[in-house]
Amino acid sequence: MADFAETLVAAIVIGSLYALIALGYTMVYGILKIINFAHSDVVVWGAWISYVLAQRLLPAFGLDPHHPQTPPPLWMGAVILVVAMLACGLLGLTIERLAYRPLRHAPRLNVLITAIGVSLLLQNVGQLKFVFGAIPERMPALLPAWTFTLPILGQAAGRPVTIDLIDLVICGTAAGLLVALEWLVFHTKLGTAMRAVSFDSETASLLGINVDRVISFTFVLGSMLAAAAGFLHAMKYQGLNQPAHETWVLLGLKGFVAAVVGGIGNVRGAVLGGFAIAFVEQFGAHYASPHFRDVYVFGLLIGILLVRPTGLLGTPAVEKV
Amino acid sequence: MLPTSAGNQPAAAGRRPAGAGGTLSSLGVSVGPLVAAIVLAVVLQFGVPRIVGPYWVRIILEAGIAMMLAVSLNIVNGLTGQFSIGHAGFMALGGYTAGMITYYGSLWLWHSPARHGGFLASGEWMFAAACVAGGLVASVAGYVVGLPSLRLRGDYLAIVTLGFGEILRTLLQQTNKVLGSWEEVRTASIGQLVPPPVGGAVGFSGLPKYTSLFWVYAFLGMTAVAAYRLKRSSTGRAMMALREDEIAAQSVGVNVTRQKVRAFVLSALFAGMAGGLFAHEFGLILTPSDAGFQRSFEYVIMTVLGGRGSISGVMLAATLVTALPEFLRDFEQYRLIVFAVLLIVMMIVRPQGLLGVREIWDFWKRQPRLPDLAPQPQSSRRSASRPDSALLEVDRLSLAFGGLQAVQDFSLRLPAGALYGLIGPNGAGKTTVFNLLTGIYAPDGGKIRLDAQSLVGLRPYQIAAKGIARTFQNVRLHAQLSVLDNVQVAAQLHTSQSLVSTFLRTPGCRRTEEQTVQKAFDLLAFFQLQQRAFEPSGSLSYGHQRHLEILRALATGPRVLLLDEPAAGLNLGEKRDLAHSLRELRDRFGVSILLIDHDMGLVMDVCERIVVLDHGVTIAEGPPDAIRNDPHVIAAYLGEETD
Repeated sequence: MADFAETLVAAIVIGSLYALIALGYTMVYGILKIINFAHSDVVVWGAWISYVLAQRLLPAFGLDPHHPQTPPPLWMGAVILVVAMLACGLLGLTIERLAYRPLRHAPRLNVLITAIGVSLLLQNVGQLKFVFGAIPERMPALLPAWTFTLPILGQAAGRPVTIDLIDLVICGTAAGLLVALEWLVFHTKLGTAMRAVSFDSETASLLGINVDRVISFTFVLGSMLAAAAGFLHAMKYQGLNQPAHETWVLLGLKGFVAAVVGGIGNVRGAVLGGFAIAFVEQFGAHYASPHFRDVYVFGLLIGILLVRPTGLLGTPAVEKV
Repeated sequence: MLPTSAGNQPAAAGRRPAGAGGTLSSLGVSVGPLVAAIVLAVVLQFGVPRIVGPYWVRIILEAGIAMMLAVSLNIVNGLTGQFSIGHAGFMALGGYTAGMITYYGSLWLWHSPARHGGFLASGEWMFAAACVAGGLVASVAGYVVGLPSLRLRGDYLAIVTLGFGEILRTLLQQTNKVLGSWEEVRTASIGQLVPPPVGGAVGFSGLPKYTSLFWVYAFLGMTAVAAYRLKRSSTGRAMMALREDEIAAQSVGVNVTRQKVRAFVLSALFAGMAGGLFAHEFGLILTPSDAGFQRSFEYVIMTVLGGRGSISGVMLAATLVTALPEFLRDFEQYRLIVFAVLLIVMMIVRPQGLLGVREIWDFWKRQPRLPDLAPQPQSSRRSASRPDSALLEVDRLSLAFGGLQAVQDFSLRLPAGALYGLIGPNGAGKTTVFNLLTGIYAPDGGKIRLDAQSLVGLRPYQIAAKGIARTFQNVRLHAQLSVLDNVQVAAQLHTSQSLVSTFLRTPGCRRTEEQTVQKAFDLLAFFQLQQRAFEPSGSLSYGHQRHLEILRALATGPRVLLLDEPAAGLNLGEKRDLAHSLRELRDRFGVSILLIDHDMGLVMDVCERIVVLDHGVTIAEGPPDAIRNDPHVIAAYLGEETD
């Protein structure tokens, strides 16, 4: 039972990360109907930008940038998060302008290849010596190493179940961003425009919506969420692999799977999908075999697509004859 | 079935004696290109290593394997337009299978996992057989991965292929757990320590290195010839037709699911063979991550860069993608950046790929010569149908979309050789009736019988085979295919060619092909389209496209022809011609026609009887004169007087 409670906590934390990544995939797909495979690399850039910022900021407080003796002030993490999000937002904007906009009316396969090209570019530019380098680094701890005992779960489990501060921060940040996004998409003029473009971009442009601007904004938004996911991931796992490492690819891929499982193009579905695959992955790893955690995730993906061809919350597409 | 005289067969030029000797060619099986491929492979094997060093030999080897994978992926992505991004999974599966066979086979036969014998000695033949076995195992996986195409389309199918590759990668990482325990047993039993062949995440090391230029290019030659013959066969044509428009392809009898699954199976077969070659190459180790999507993407890049559907194009692209990084080796750090930028720029400036849909040799070849055919008068077929009984009987057909009753209790008796009209205001349910008759929608209730055989529950391609053909309200042609191909894909409905005979180009296969070409040209002559036979159908004028669509429907040899607004968008003169053509069509081809159109002049002029629908309900039926004066019809069209 204690195992169950701990697995549950892990699943919620990891599910929050997957959900943040999935949102970027799903928003871009919803609007442009393309799978933006470069999205996972924006997550990586978010993580590495956070690392570089921490390296610059920590010495200002007289702390060792690699192993700070005492945690820096709490607001520093928040500053790094915001700066990383802004930087990645700019990155997303640039990618959309240079790579995707010229292909607005090209076959979708071409856009996909371009996305792969952008992904390769981001990975390998990131690996350059004067950018992030090709050596794994360790993210310094920015938060105090507090742990909390969970009251209700602990009682049910029979022994104390703890949760780290970073896990709470991840859940809190993710929840905050999700609520903000929900409000933006469903309760603002811009969100309405986004949904209109997603529904039919041509009609939306006839109604006076600046489609290009909405698309740019979507990329910025998705990239900012990706940066947040990268930052939180780096804070939790600390080990920071080089930008082209395949663990990053797999992380991005799972975010993408989350988006598809939930019904790609559907914002709430992405969140649902993120938690769904995190649960399958964590519980499968714990109760079956940890070696096959990717099999559970992709198995869930195939299984759900076969039962519901457009994902859990996706709307079935009907072709008119 | 068709009167063909030997003198004017259009494809007679293709009947040259098949290549170099051999017993197969005396049977008439075309083996020329295959023999040429093997000769080329021998030349490569002994010639090339003398000219270039081992470094370049290796690059030429790897380019050959890459070409094989790109050509095989092109069967799915290029021909059928499905989108597989898990191709490396098939390669890895084939590679692991072939590796296990040669490794354990060598141990069993020669008590050593090392290479056995020289060029074309027994060891190499076992290796070749192992590659084929790897291909077969991969093709089984291809079948399993292709099956979801029953339900999934587009991106979702692509994601399933990606999931397949990733699952395979994870499973392969665990192989050492399974095989390691076998290994212990074996080591204990023969008392000899041999390094285990499958090293989990590290990869499949310790395999005998058999792969050479000869084997790579022999397999590649086979793959390329097979892919090229497939592309030009009835199967390939059906695959390309469904790529262009699935619904239209079904309407002329293409079993879409079957063709998609076939494409996956064939594609996986060749990829699996390539995997066998990969696994046995010196300097390469097959690892689980080779099954993953990063490698799959390499092959997708090659197919898109080369041009979808162009076999020589993707071969060129595969060579470039393999060799280019080698030329950039001096800029180690920047070479992938350069590659990425080239890729992005290429997609923006040349989206159709290097060669588009053409082959390299198309740039030199003149346009195919038009066969000079006199349109052959065709006797009206099947006119001997029983005159009193209805050919097509529809009884109380109903369909609702949610709360909207689209069609309600629609009944019709269409006799053989009849020309009936189906009219009604917009949204009356006319096209829905056609969709019900052709199996695109399943009715909620009611009966459809063609010559007393029930059609309810059949799939669209089965209904086409039973003898109902149709055109579409918005023209649905296979735009990138030639005019001739558009008709041929329908004309081949009642022919059958096995895949094996396609690959060997047997005489029977060529004869069938000639017959469908002949039939297609005969039909094209009806609307004088034979001069444009080799142009892409998308380049025809709108009027010609409408004509072509009618001919395509006729090419299936239908008994009932459903025409959905054939006069829409035509000018006055064209409409007059159409009225004339419709009667001639009916008489010459012996079909019954059911016509939807909004042009009352046309409908009243040509139709013997007219059914009027409004809001899904039949409000009138009778000869034109009665319909013209029917108060219900007038009310439906002009609105009722409110007094």
